[in-house]
Amino acid sequence: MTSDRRDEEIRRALEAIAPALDRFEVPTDAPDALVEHTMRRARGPLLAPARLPHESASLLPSGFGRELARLLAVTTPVAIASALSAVFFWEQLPGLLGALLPASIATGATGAWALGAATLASLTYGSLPFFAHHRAISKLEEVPS
Amino acid sequence: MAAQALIPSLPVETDEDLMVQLQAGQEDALSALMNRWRAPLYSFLNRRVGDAADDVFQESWIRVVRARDRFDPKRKFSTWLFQIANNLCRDRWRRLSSRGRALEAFKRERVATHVPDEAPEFRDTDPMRERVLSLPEKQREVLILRYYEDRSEAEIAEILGIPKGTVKSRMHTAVRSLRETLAAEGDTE
Repeated sequence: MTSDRRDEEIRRALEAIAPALDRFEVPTDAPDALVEHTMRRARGPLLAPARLPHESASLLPSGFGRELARLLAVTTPVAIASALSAVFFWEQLPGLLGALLPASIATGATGAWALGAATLASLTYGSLPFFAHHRAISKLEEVPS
Repeated sequence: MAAQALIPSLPVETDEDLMVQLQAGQEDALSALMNRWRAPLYSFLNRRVGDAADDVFQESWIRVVRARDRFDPKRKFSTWLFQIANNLCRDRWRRLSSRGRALEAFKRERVATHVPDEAPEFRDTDPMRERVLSLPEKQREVLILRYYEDRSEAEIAEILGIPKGTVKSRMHTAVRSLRETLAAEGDTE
């Protein structure tokens, strides 16, 4: 189903059930007493430094460890599979290339491939703490609970 | 008329301006924000969590104050506020045991069908309340934000932290489900 068609279908369906949906009535405003009580409760945190209760004084944001573990859990299986395939190619590549290219070029190409794979792995793992930090901060901003 | 023309019109402070003032610790800014958003937030919470709306309303504003330094004034305040409130609703739902959820469903059923003494404001409520509240959590939050709060798909996506396409598909499923329920019950209005 195309997006436009779905939008149109949702619009028409909403129109059809609107009278029924409108019967779901709720109070239209918060009681004054509730608002006053909320203001009184909010004064304490307003005087204190802005900080959520679960926050520590650590330089790392809350949830950093959890995010890092999550990212490691996702990347590690991929890294293991990549390492296994690297070992396989390390064994096979010189032979395969040797049949097509001069020995020195085949060795150079294999070395370049291995170096590239190692660089990629280093970049991936080296950047994980940054991604974990970014994700932890984003969650704190968006889900301050 | 001439006198009115001489009075310079005061610039209306945006919600985001007020948040900047709140970040500086100004209580008046919180009061102004609360007055602007008390009604929409309260009706949203009533539709989301029913009887627990008062508690979540208070907690939402406390969270706004505690997390004020993390608010980016380039963002829309109301989206951030509803995001906080919706996350509190989700937390509450997760905390409820299955027994608690069943009890809530039972209470809603009573409110919708048995005219309870303890909820006089809902005496004339149609079972539609029960139908909406019985939708799966993920569909219900999208439907309430879209239909009752008139939020755009982009805002809903930001509030819920999901792609716009997912908002559409959840909305589609929720509306279809309600339509089918209404048709099955012969509610053609």
